[in-house]
Amino acid sequence: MDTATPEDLLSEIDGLKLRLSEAQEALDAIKTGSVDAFAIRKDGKPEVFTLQSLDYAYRILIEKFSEGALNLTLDGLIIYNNGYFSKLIDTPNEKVTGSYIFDLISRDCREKFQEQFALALHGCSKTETILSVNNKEIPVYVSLTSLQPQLATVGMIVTDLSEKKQNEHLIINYRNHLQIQNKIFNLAEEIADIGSYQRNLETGELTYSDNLFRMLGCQPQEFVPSMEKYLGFVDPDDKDRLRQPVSEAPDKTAPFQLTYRIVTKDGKIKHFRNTERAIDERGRKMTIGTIQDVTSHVAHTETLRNKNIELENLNKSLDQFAAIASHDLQEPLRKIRTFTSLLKQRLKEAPPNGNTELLDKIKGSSERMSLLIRDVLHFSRVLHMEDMFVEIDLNQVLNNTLKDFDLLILEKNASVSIDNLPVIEAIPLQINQLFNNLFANALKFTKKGIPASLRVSSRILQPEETGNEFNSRFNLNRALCYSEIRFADNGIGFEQQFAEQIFSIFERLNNREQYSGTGIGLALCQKIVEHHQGAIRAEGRVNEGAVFYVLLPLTQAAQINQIKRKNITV
Amino acid sequence: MTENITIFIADDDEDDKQLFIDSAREVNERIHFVTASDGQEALRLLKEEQNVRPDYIFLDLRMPRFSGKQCLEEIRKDKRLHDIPVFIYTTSTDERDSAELRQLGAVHFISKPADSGDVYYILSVVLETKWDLSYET
Amino acid sequence: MENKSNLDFDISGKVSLQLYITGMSENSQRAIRNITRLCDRYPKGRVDLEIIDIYKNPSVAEHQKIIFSPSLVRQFPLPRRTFIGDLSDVEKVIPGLGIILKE
Repeated sequence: MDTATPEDLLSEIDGLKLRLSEAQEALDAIKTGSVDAFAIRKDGKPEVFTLQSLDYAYRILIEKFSEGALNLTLDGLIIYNNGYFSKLIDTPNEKVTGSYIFDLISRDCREKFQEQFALALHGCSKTETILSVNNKEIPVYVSLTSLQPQLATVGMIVTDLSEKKQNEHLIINYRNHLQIQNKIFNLAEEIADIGSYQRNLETGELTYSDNLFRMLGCQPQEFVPSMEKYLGFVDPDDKDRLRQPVSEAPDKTAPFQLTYRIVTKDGKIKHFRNTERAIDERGRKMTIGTIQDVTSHVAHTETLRNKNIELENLNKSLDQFAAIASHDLQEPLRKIRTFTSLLKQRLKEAPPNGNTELLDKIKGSSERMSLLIRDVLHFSRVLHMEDMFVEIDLNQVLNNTLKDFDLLILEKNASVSIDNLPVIEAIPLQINQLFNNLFANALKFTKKGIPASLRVSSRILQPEETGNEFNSRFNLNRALCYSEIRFADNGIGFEQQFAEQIFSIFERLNNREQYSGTGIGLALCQKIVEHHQGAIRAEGRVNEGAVFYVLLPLTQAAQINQIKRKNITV
Repeated sequence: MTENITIFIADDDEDDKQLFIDSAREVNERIHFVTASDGQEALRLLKEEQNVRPDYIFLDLRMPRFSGKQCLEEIRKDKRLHDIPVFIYTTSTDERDSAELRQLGAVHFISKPADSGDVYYILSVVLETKWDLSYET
Repeated sequence: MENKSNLDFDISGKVSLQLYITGMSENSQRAIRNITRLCDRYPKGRVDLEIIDIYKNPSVAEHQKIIFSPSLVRQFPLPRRTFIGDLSDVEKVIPGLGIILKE
């Protein structure tokens, strides 16, 4: 027997009481379910034993996860799968458990999946694959992890990529669409002769479209765009006009538009119409602009304007011509009718005698008719001309004309003096006609008994003279250089008040008995000079003679490098 | 009628003028004619105060220098002349001309007939009618 | 002292506590909540609290015969005392911990 003191015994009892109460507590706790597990040393190794309710929380976690979770044997047999997974593959839970995971993988992906599964047996692996169940293909991302050594299973987490794939698809579509749009845009720019640019107002960065480079005569993106570089292309006269609006554009809400000239890299002159506008693109302050090549438009507008003026003039003279021509052509015919009726009458009254007078009149009328028709044809031919302009020496033309009038000159005892005339671009036949008519007039309207004297001279018109009191009504082409040829005679002259009238077709200042002619000569002269972009005017004094001024340009088209043209605002 | 009347005719066409005079004489052999060959001459003759005031004025439209229309306008402005009946005697058959000239004060617009007989007829009608000019503006 | 309630208490000396739990169980969660609420009520630095997951650390059983989860062990002040369960029964826990309640 031990010699234990009563104190020792009491202490031991206290200790036992404590341990007992603790044990009781433990049992109570187990009974009431307030403990989930306990750790205990078993065979020298610590082990954890789980009581009923513990894995509940984990279960809930896995089940409610919005990812698929499975537990697979090392052969790939599904021993557990969560609610999400069954829903994903639209197969009831009971049917999934017990099937092989490989059967759920789409055939094309199976091999790769098997590789990944094999890898996972020794660690983990992640891969994209496609599930194929009930004829539905589901793209997924799977993460495989071996749960060894604790469990001889492989855990698998499945993430549905359908939406992601859809989005990817959309993005690819959008990207393709955008690429096509860009191509179309670039093509459109090329076709429409438009270039565009963007300017970031904060960084000053400038971006040009490919076509803008091309319009400047450069390769796309040939240089780094900058304002200074661009101004290098702009015509010096227009530079300042451009600088100001450009710096103001960001502040103004209205777009600015300006047309100016540029010279391309290869020396071509073009007209650009530039429109720029400020935009606020997601907080970035920018301006965007387009540049349209309006060079041909400018040329066309001018051509159009000229054509319209031509057309107006043509119409005017056609109307005038038609009214007067029909009237004058009627006259001989009417006379023929009148005289024949008179003749008939007289023949009835008296036996034929002295009626040659009437017959002569009839003959005369028919002759007049022919002459009129000839002249009218002449005149109308001048209205539809397609003849070519060539360089002709007016001195030669004049000399030829003189030859035609040899006899008449002798008859009238006329003297002709000619100063040196210039060489011009003209239609030879028409200028011939022109000089012919002027000469014919000069030799027709001579004063009786006084030898006719005709002087032909010329000078170059000063540019400012094209708009003076005499010439302003002709609207001469300011870009051309004009020669003024002067035909002066000492004949019967005319009142200055009729100076314009005489150029009207068939218009006469004297009647038929006094001077022959159909009255078409000067009208024809006017038509001819107008066709040459020139003009004709007359000055006269009764009984003192007349002077005809013929204005003809030296060339038909302006030489570009000679003439400085003003900017054309479109 | 037997009173002496004076007819003024301006026409650049001698044949037409002669035909007119011959036909008028057949209607009334005692007509006195004053003639002009162009618009300028016509106005000069008409405005000269010492000349006889004509009872009828015939004007061709298309004449050298001043046209018949211009003459008509001048006549209508002239106090001495404006109540004389003015006839436009012309080759024109244009109705627009007719309307325009009547507007300007011409009493009648006559298109020159081709047939000489018609000239006689027209003149006989004209000369036998009393022309009322009360509508003038 | 901020919160004045009849549960205000005071302790003397440092207290060393270990709370044994098993992952995510409801009981463990409650135990954690309860003990941290308790510990929040007194000055920092006075209590040393360790929360140990017996799944992650089964070796804690080395030193004791058996460890329940959830359970709270007071290592100091001695003697060692164990409270099994989620510690909802405050009346029992507090005196057990040696915390003197201030009335």
